Amino acid sequence: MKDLTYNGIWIFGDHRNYFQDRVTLQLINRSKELANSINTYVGVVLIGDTVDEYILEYTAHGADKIFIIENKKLKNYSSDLYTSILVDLIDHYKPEILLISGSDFGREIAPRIAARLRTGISSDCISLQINDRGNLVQISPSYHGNSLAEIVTPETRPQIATVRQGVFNEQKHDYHAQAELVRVEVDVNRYEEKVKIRATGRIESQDTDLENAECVVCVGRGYSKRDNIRKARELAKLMDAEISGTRPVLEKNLLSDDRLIGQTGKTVKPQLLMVLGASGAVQFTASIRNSDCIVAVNRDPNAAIFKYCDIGIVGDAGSIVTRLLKELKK
Amino acid sequence: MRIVVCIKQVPREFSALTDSEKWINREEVSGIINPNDRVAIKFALDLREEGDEIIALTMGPPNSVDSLLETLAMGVDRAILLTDERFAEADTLATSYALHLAIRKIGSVDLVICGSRTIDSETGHVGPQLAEFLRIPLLSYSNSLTIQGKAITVERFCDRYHEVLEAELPVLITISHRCKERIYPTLSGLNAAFDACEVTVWDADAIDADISRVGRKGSATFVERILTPEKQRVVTIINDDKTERTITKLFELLKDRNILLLDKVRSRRGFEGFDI
Repeated sequence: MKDLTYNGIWIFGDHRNYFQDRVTLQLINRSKELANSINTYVGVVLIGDTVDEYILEYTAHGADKIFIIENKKLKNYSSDLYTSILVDLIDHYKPEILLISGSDFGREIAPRIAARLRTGISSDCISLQINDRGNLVQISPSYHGNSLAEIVTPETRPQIATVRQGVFNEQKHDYHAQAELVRVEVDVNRYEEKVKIRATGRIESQDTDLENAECVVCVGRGYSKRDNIRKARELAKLMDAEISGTRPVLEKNLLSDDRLIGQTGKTVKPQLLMVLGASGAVQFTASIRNSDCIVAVNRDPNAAIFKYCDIGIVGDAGSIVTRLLKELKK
Repeated sequence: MRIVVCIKQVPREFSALTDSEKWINREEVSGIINPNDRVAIKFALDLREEGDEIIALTMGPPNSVDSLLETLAMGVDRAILLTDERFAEADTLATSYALHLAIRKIGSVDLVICGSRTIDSETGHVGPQLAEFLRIPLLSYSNSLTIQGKAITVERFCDRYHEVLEAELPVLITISHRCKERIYPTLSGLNAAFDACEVTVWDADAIDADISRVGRKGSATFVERILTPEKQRVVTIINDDKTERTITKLFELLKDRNILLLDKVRSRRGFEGFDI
């Protein structure tokens, strides 16, 4: 039986990379729609040492309630402390749903929380819905290859899911919005921090910004020889596009890790996406589905990618790219 | 030191075969070791010092024994297979529960190593959940590590942060997907391992499992429905022997969609003075 004492959709306020990682805002927006259908509120749990800025942001983006745990000792993102604090808050407030960003950190704490509470968790959802029993339907590509699974957590609470960046849209700022602020005093010393953070530093990275690129060239396994990659780079440069690859290509170490499109990599939504020699596994197609126009080249007329593109070219990616380079250079 | 490496046998069709793997007789192997787990095994073998013991552990159908034999051929000391019909259809919660009982039964384990994610389901949940059940420190996404006495230090990348974490053994580490150095057995090692066939098999009773917490019964999540992703796009296929005609057609179709690739490239080049 479903436990009716559980109420509220909670979102972990993942603010460490606020300007790049918008999942929390995207989740607030989607949760508001879900909350309407189960008649509940949307709460954001905000943990950190100085969080005023994020209180404003989450309020302006539509949170109904913000649970604030502010403490000098919470400066670093500690998996041990954040897990324990969230577990205790859940025990006390009993939210029925907990949504967590699919960041590395989110993916680290979410399964820990689920295990400690002995409840269900799904990962990398590409869609969230409420079914007629009021349960969260978690649609995840993470199940046996070329299909999507509708996962439910029918009995235990909360229902936990991680969601990747770019799946939902964020709501526009509304600085007149109001949220109920719930400040929770937590005795941080009470929690055991088994793992000590000896050093931590932000990498001022060579951002590729694949997620926001307007034009992307993506190479798949069928076009992943060293020379292929060189030509694909040349094509990308001509098109003013970002280069990227599917996982089999990244496994060969021919592109850097931040160039991965797919379930464990990035989700893209360019105006034009050129897919060269990728078969179209669901982990990949789920990450490109918001692209405006997808051009796919594959030798195999039955390749799955031809179901998920706008323009499908049956042919050898090598000769197509060579010709394309020639035309573009004319 | 006693090290347990958790592995999973995954269906072959998901894998990207590497050249060094090609010589394995594919007919005889129904699945393969999850590629990231090969990295985990490599980590364990590299850590081994005199007197250390490395144990490979997996839960899966009986044919997972193949992957375990392969780990023995790589130099792992012992291999344990958890298999029981009652373990079937386990989600990550029920899987981690069973694995933690096996590790308890092995006893005196100093280090548990898991790969980053499996290529068939990619949840990455089992490592963190197993650490929870074992109540030992979790060091995720480990890039490199050093052990001195009881202290373990791990260097990792987590989101946009580069971190150094420290904990005291016993701990569970998951290996970063950035680490890609995999290990493969030699042919003679493989033959010897398959001939000796020394894999310990445990069922639910052997690990003293609460049956309500394993397999489908012990799972908190259920797959209600499997969907084939629906076709949302109107697909135009170009299937023409002539590459030249194909490209012309492509430019036309893009133009119909208001994507003026050719014009854009040419105008940019004009601007930059043919400097590409």
